[in-house]
Amino acid sequence: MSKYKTEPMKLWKRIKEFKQNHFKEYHEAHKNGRLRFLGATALSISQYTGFENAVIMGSEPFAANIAFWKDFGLKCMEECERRGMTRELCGYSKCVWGAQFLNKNIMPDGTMLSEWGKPDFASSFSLAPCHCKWFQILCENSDTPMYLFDLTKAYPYNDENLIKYMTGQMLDCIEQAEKAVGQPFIDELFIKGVKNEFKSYRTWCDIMILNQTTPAPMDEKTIFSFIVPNLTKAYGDDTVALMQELKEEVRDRVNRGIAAVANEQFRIITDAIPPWPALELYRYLEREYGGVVVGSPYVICLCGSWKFENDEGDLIPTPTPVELGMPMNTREEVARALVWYRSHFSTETPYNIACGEVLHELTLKIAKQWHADGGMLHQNIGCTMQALGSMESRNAVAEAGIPCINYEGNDADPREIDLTNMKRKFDIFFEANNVKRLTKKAA
Amino acid sequence: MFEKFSEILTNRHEYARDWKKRTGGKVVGFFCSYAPEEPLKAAGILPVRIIGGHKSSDKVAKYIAPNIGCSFCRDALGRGLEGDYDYLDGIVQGQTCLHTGEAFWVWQKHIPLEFSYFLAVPHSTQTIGREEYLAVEYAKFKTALEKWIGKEITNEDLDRGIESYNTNRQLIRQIFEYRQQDNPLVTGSEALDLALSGQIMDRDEHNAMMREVLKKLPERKMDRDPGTRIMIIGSVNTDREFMHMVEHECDIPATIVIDDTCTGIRYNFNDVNPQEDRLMAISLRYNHRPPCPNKDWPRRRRIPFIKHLIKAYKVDAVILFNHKFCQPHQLDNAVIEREMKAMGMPTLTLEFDIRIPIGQFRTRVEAMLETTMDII
Ligand code: SF4
Ligand code: SF4
Repeated sequence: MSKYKTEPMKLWKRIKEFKQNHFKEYHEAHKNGRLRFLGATALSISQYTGFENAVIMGSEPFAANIAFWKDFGLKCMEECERRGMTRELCGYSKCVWGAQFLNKNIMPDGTMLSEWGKPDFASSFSLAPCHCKWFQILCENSDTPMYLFDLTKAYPYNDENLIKYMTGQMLDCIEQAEKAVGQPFIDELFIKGVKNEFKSYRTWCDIMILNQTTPAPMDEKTIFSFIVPNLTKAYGDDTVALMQELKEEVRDRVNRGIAAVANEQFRIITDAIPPWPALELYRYLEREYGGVVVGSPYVICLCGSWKFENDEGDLIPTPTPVELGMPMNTREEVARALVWYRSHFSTETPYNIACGEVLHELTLKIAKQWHADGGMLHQNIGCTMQALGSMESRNAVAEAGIPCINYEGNDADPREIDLTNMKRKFDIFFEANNVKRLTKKAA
Repeated sequence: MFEKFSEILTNRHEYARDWKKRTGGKVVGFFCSYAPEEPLKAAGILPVRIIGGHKSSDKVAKYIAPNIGCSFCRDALGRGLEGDYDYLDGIVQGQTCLHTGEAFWVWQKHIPLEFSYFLAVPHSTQTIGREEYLAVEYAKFKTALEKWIGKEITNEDLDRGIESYNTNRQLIRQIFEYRQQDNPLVTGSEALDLALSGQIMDRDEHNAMMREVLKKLPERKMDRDPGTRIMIIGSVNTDREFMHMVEHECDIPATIVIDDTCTGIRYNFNDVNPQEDRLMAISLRYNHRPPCPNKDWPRRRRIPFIKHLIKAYKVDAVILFNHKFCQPHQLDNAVIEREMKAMGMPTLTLEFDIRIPIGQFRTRVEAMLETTMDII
């Protein structure tokens, strides 16, 4: 007899369709007389909404989709390695470079495409310098006009120098993009898109807070599917509506005590981009131990914006510029508001190494606020930025009395994922913490 | 002629301890050459570059995994955790790569010091507004320093700092120029010790030592065959054993005539041009110095810079010097290698760990040197 009632998520199918349609829209943009923009999602892709017929794709979900389809992902990586890029370089970068070298891509449903999806304009943000080197190489090789943003240090937030610097870059980027694509930028569209993004991101925070409930209404593997709308189209009316629906559904699950994992008995936080080619490990934790991953700094911050209450208390949603009544009538005001909002803990800003002092604290706060019994932090060697801070995050959580381990994996490279070893590590961890195994161990 | 520099470099911790005793001043360690040393000098502080000791330490693995952190940073951090830098009063990081950043945070947390500061240097030194941005960050840094030392850093103090460092870089460049000669008057090993000792010494003292060298250098007679002229391209080169091996132990003669590293010419290439706003003047220098790979985007300025050095120093072959798990340099190396190939330049890539397999490296260097000789 299960401990909790469980039900599949009602929006599951719609979200899958949303993703498939957005990728289709991007890949078919030229056929439909539209423009393709490919941009890193850190600090927004909504600046391109000012172009009337833009289809905007977030580069991280673009890369993650390739990584998820591990056979194709591996081909991409091997192609890079043939061209002198070493094995230990970034997994996401090699997925996208490889797709470009091979001039092939893959749709979320696994359909192969005979073209990689060269954008008309591309941009990235230096969460870490390599996030821009990724695009430098991609754009050089594909002769794509680019704008690479310098995002120096996002903590402490509310830093006027950073806001001014980033706003200046955003305005410059818009001008460069206008020249590159030969189309006018319409401020009204930009204002609308950005305001939508605020709504979508704010709703995400509410959804994540609902996951603090026991039993957790959603597990992290499921949450991964729901990140796509905000990452690729937070500016869209459809995303705003979808996020509202998702919030209602999760709230309903909370009210009715519907669990993601029927036998939830151990709440876990993780960290970093997951090993996309091996997501089945989440199901292993659930099935074998009733272990439910309730969140991570990655998934919680990725599609929302957060801050510490009174700058040192609990993690709380950043009030949006609209809620705060910030002026948003001109391009400059909107760019500034967007930069202000997103340069809090949003997307992967806390992983920016310059924020090392706060990443560990943030991880610990998440462990406490999401009522974690333990932490299993992914040491993602596919992303140096995330991997480097991971051990200190583990130390911070463990020293606070919450058992915590690192497990080594790779967000993109299946050759670097040893599922057997991971499982063994998890078994030992659960055993050490007296968590009863729910199934009989295979002989 | 350069023995004194080598000696001080070897005994760098004793030098710093002695400096403290002599002057009563504070010593601040810095990880990356993007930390602005001029304001530190202006505050009467001795900035000391934190480097490794080519020794492993089992204390590092608790904080940075050995298969992720670059070998240079693990080595440097290891020396800190082992107590070699117990004389430091503070640390500063001028933001560059992820690895130095993480080493800084671990150091700050686990080796408590009076003062620590992470300075948000722009990632790209090409971005619109970066000069103003950095000048403001310097102002914050200066305020933090003033609070710590309990006194104002005046324009006159800053001028002294700027003057001392400008002179230092100019003197280093003057000495380096003698490496352009057909028979270079300074070997690569000597140049490394010269430049690196500067980064751990009081610059005025270093300047005085260099002036003495410059008096004698034009008359120096070299009794060695310069052989193949090599350029080293990479990040922090502190590997004196390797330099010595290339120049003194290989069967085929060779001289390292120049480098594109942050312990060599990249660090010493440009000066602070004085202007009323001192912090802006310093910002301009750091923004416009030859970049490291982390900061070289969207345009590539390293490649033309490297080609310029190849021409000026009549380079015959290139060694790409890569620290293990140094992704920033790996990201550039594939492109540099392609460019070198297009120029017909023999190029060897070597991966350096905390300890290096010197015998194996010697074989590989000699194999490359053979390709530069007219022997088939
Ligand atoms: S390693 Fe991480 S931070 Fe660097 S480019 Fe890849 S995904 Fe971005
Ligand atoms: S060797 Fe590379 S990774 Fe290490 S400190 Fe230097 S640039 Fe950074």
